[in-house]
Amino acid sequence: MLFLGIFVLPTLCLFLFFYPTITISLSSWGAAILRATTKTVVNIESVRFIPGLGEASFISIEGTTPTFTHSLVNAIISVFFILLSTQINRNNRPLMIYLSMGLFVHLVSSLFFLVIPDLFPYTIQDYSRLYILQQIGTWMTITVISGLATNLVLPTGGYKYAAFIVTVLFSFIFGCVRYVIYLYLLYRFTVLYMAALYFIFGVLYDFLGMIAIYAIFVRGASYRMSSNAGKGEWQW
Amino acid sequence: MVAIMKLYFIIMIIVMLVYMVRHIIFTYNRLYSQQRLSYRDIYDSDLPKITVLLPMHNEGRVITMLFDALLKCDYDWDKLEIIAIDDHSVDATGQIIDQYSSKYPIIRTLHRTDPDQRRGKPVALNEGMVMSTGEIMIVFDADYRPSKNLLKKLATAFNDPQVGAVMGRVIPLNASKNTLTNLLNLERTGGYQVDQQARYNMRLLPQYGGTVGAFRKSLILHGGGFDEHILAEDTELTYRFALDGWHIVYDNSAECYEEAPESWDARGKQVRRWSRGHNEVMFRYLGKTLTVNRLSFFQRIDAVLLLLVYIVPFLLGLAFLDCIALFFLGEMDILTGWWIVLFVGAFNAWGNFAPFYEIAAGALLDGMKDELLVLPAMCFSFYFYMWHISLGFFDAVVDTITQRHVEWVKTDRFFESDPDETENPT
Repeated sequence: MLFLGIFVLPTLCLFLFFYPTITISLSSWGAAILRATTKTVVNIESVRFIPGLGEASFISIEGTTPTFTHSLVNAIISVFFILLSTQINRNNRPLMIYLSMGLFVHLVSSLFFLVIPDLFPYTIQDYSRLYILQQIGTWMTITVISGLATNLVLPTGGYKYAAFIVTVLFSFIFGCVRYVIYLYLLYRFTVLYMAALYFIFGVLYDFLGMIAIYAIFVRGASYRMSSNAGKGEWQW
Repeated sequence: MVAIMKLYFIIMIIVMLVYMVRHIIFTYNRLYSQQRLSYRDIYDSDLPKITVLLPMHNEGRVITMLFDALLKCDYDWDKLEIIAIDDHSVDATGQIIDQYSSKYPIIRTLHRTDPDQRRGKPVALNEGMVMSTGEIMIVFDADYRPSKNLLKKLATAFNDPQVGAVMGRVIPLNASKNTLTNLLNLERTGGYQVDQQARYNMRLLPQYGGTVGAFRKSLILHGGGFDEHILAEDTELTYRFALDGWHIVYDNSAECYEEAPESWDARGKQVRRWSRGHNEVMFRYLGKTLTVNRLSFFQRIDAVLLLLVYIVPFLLGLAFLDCIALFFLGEMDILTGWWIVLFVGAFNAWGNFAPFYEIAAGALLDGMKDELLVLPAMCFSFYFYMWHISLGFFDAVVDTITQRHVEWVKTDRFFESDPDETENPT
């Protein structure tokens, strides 16, 4: 309970009450990078989020929609790789199924732009706004899940605190860096790739990172508990 | 229509959260609550006469290892009978079991060779039970290797007249073979060391798993034997017994070693078959489980969640498609992106047959170390399971609608008996 009270709850409150400050800082930093790399107009806008807690800021940048040829080539490539993935090394079957799902999402996106490009409901600004709102949620979700999981399984001592801090830091830094990279990719290569970035390369990787960090620290704790120094550290 | 799609999405998030909370409770219980002991740890009394049933189909590559391990088990041979059932094998299985039978009188054989006979594990078990002389049946698949005291541990629980079935713990023997077997080892650790033990601790519903398990013969025969049209006779037994008020015991110390599938193809087929069988049982027992009076409120909730385990990945796949459709309809904005976070977070936590913290708890209890480094790969294997479990669900739906007869297909074996390692006990 001490761990939850001293570390997890304050971290949750930090994201909850300071998201206006965090998002304006992130947007300012990201906008500066995007201005330097794209040489285009990059603005910062804000959106109402949690009533009473302030607005969330996000980067606004003009984007382009794909041409018919661009969409067609992407659709053909997606179909090709989907078919190819069914023939590839069976030892990597889970990865192939995951990539096939990503290619399927991208195929749907390509077909959408082939058939009804004017009806695509989002601009880069919309994506940017969705990303920021989702990322705040991701940080808070990671904080809660990581806090509960570390508190539950890892014994008292440095492992628990270190695992939690490293996980939250990873999620925060990763979320910020990915935001700028994805906006750059969408600006440079059109909004055709938005769906794939959103569904397949989105928050899944936050959780992947969380579990990877968690596994490393549980492994460390297991080594310690089987050592002479760690014996008796935790009465099961 | 959009409203229905959003509602479905939100319902799935709630379902995921329910499973997540359930597994957090199990993990907490396993790590911090008082553990129920094995019957063998509480008392040591006269043991009943037992019959070990070994249903086999083309198991010539592995069967000698099981025989040798069983013959080394610590159990009075006057009270032990082994029935080896050759179920239409075309390899050397029949000859091998005959050789063992001629050498060891406690081994009896049942050759099922008539081409007009129905094949499969349930029908083989039914015939084996009819010719058995023991009251307690213990079942092993051919690729399992029981530990020395396993039979005693399983049999002792039946001194409690309320116990209908007992389940032991399965541990992969080939965990270090490749990434898949390592992952399966972690899944098994989470599933048995934590999940099954916690359910037993909390007096919920430990699952009888069809192998490394024992049951009272009279209870099954009284109900007409195993249903020969069902693939998951183990799950069916679990619910049949539980709804009739019989206790199902899990003994974490009753360890048995298995050969885990070493290829994703074999694992995919195995999981698809499990999903098919489990969902057939779900169709039959969901209504009864919800309405039965013999189970307490929490037992009923847990029994329902257990029954739904193999439909949830299919529902998640549907939610994923739902999510894509909402995205292209421009409706993700209304959900403000938050819901997908919970959705993804929850299903990553639930991921496979056990969420990551439950696996980590089991791994710590088992003293695993470097094996944990493959834990992140679960994120990807989840998609694999979602696909194959969904296929199994469709099979079950078609089976139920068309009443077609299912064919039992066993999992591919990878081990080869090494004649040099085969020892004959004296």
